[in-house]
Amino acid sequence: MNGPINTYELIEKYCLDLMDDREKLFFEMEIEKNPALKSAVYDHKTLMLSFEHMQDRDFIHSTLDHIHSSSRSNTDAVLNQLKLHVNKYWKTASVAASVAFMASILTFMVARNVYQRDNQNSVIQLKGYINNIEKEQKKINNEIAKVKKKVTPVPVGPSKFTGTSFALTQNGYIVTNFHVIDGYSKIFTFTSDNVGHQTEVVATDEENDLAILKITESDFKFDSKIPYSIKKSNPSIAQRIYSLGFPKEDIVYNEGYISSTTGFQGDSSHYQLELPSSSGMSGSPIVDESGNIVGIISDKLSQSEGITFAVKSKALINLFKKLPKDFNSNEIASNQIKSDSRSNQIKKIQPFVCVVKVYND
Amino acid sequence: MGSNSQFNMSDESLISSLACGDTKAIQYVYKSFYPTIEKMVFKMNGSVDDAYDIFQDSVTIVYEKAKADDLHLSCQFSTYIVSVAKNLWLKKLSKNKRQSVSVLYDDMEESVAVDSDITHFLEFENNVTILQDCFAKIGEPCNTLLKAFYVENKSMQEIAINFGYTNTDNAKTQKYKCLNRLRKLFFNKSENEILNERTY
Repeated sequence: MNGPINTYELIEKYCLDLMDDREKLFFEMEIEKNPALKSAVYDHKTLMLSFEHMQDRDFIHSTLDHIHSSSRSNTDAVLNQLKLHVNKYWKTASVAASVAFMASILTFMVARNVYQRDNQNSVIQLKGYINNIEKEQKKINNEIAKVKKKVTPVPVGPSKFTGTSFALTQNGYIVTNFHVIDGYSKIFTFTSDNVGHQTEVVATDEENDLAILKITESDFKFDSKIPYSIKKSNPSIAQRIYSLGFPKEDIVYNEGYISSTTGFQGDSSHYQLELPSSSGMSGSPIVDESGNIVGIISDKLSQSEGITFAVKSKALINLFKKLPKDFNSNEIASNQIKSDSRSNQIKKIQPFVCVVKVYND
Repeated sequence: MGSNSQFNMSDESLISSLACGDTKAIQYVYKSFYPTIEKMVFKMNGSVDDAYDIFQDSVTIVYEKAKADDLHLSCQFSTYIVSVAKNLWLKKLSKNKRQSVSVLYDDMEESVAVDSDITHFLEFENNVTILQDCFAKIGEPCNTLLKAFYVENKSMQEIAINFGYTNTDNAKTQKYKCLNRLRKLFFNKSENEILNERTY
């Protein structure tokens, strides 16, 4: 071993377990002979483990922060929906809501006051007080729920999971990922006017992570004809694409390119895209520059920044065979936005991209 | 509002998804256990912020153990994570000399031994605090270069290009110098201060 840099490279190689058996054996013999080397290896391991911990905790913290804040905004979203749907009962609802608000302010103030004191008695007292307030709030919530039930079938409470979907026909056939709806019986599609429609699963392809759904209302119709077409042939590497999806309550546009014509571990039914994505965007359409749909976002590499995988549109077209007769694939055979500018394309596609929310019974 | 009934995931599949860093598994853990842990911390005189801090630390512990394939539980996952959270909070409280509270929450259901997991975690939390301090001290380009290699897992080739080194060997030499500086700061500091800094 010559020079401190080389020693350090060896230590690093050893700690990363990159040595072959022979090299490792020699190095371990060297460690036994040389206490200075031994402690250098130990220190290096400590430092590496600390780096790893830094990485892990940053990952968990940022992931949880995201979940924590979106679970808060989810509650807000439910309240907003409630507001939309209970216009008729607005008076009751607003009185109830303000009572709930006052109660929570009161709880907060009392709780703050009492928690600051380290006094066992007052803590127990507080418990009784909170119980009463909790009972009151439950009553109020039940009433709000009753009012809501009369108006719309959309379940109360945050949904278990959300994804993106897009329309295949004007009469309400839509497609999303299988994993979005897997295991859930209550599915609602929220169209761009923010109205929830009950939806059922019509056909699935678990292997390719696809599910075709239909909005069950018999008189449901999207406002206009489907503007885009679904492309049968596979686009090539480096082709530029964009996506529209719902990682939050509002639609989000992203753009990127096809980085590989196979997916994770060479999966030939998928593409690899260089495209930012986040949860909630499962099921988003991948659109090429002329407004053809070439794929559907299915997943991303966990912990990686821009790598997203998408199911090829071919798999979707294959699934059409399983659909009933009122599905007309001609509706998505011609592209009406070929010569539009990007922003006009998006304006026309947007009304056909929906949020899928699933609930437990 | 709404029912709290969860779509159930077996402990085994939860742990294996956690090990891959699956965000859905983390989301599941949040939905299933955050309310319980929050309530528990409230009962033991904690604030909302305390509860969320303790929860983040608890999830970090289970994630790291799952990732290292070291989460072989003799109890249910729920019992484990709640015990971790409880003990983390008790440790923090006893540090602040407010032991009296533990009496308040003696009716805690079942609890498992998690001490060694917590000690290990706190030791590395402490190391990270020191590391961040050292990173702030070593300055540029060392700060960014070391983080690029050790935290963001970039290759030396990439780093050579990004930092404008003429070849990988030059980048390696620079990395070695930086690491040496960091090491000196880190171990000096941890010997002197490891006992005084944040161990809860």
